[in-house]
Amino acid sequence: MNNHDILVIGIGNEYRGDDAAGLLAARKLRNYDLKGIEVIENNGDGAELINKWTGRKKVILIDAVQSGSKPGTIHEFSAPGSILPSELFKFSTHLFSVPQAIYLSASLGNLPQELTIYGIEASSFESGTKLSAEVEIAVNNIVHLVSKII
Amino acid sequence: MPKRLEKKVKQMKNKTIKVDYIARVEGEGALYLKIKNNEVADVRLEIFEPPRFFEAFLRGRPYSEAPDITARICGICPVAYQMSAVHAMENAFDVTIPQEIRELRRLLYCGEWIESHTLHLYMLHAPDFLGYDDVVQMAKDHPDIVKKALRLKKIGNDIMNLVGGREIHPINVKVGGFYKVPTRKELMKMHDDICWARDAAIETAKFAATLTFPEFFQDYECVSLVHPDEYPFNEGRIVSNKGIDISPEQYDFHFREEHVEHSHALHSRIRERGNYLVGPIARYNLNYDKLTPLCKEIAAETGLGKECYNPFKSIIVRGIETIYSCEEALRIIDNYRMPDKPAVDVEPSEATGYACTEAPRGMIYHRYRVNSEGLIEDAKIVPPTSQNQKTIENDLRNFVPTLINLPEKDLVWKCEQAIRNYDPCISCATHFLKLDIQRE
Repeated sequence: MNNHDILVIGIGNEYRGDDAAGLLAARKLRNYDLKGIEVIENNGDGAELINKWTGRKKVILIDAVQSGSKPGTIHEFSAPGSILPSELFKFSTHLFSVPQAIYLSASLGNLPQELTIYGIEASSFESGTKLSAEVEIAVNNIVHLVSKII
Repeated sequence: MPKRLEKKVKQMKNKTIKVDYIARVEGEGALYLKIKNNEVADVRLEIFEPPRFFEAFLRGRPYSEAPDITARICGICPVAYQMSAVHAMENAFDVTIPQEIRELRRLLYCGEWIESHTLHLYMLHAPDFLGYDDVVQMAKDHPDIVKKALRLKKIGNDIMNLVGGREIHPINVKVGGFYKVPTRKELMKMHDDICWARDAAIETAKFAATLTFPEFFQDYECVSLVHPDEYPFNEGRIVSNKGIDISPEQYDFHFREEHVEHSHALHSRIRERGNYLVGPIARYNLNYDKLTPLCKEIAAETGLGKECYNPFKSIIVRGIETIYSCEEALRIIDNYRMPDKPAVDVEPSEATGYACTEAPRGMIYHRYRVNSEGLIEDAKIVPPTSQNQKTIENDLRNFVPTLINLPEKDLVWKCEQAIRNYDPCISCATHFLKLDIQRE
């Protein structure tokens, strides 16, 4: 696998509090020497995620989630493999969600060989541009972790 | 009945149906429906509305930041939000842009309409009509349709990427024009893809017409932009089929937003008459004559006619508008002349600016008051969903009595489908976040 086969996607909305976690992680990752590995941002539009990861071998998604765990907790899922609880991820009437994108992509046969999802447990999705302290620490941790494994 | 939803539906002794979903991010959506003696006693749709936060966030910021910030209001129609901000600022500062830049702006709208309509039509609305839980289930039986939808949507995103700089939050747009404009060669590279997209859009409209539609017609007051020469994206007068014909500057004299106790969102009303409709059907009814011959031909073939008052048929209209967007994109690319410079100079002044443009899901209104230093003192943003909210409630009030004998789970599903006619900008994905039906 060469570096062009790898894609990192940070997902979120920077104006909804901790939902920005994935986007900020992506921006911080770009400060590292990633040797040509592409890092992109996405608002959670599942159809676009499929279009972006089609043809890649290894994809890492970073998104905020809400499961009731302690804020800042990092959840790890892999696809195919883990069952993805759809209520953890972003919903919207005119998007479809990250889990749906993964299941749809699997059904269409264009899921990357290796897809890892890091979900950062959010504290608040209220309108605003500030991360909670716990999530800010988790973002730094995930950036460090991802920079090591890619 | 979608299986996932079925699991969530609980029959309770007082005949209340409750569907719960965990709220996330873009807000909360809920529908409350009360049925008394087999009649609808109350309908309340509650939605969260992001623009309120953005209006406050914009205050005190430079006018030049408005396009980039408002693009973040919606991940699916960033162009309409940012371009409304751009047009309002240009209206305030009396800026006139050259035709070449105007054409590129229309091309950007084409990209947004293609990707947004395709996403809604195939990924969200079609599964409702065909009886699938969601697009994941639909793809198992119809993988080729879903693959085609993904490719069509991608072409829309590619146009947004090329002209807007980035597809999700276009960053290449500024008051006065663009930071950088594409070359003719760059645009021509997309030509074949857009020809494919046009043919796929024709198939899309024909596919939509094969779906089964309820016999449901409403006497809407349709409101959209109307331009003398073109199907409206970014400019025009605000016109209704019941007598309104005003410039965007006069919007606040004719429309008002009111707080409704049950909703976080404001409800828009025409001051003299009440609720109204924006979006594909309203645009189509008021602008049919501006469609291309091909669009008219396909519309006739699908049985749509020159006017449509069945909200469920909005899915066909989205198909027709996708054909239009592809044809318009081809026209612009074929005739493209690169502007001498990417943007005209802008000199801010103390002024108020107004603009309306057409997002895929309906007209957006922006108003900004800017001080002599170019800082925003006040912002007003009226999204399509708050304009349609009262009309969605009315549709449900009139539609539910035709379904009154359905089992609750089917009734829930039909209500969701009726709400999705509007492609509303609220949280909650393929199924409603929270839906209560009470029967007495």
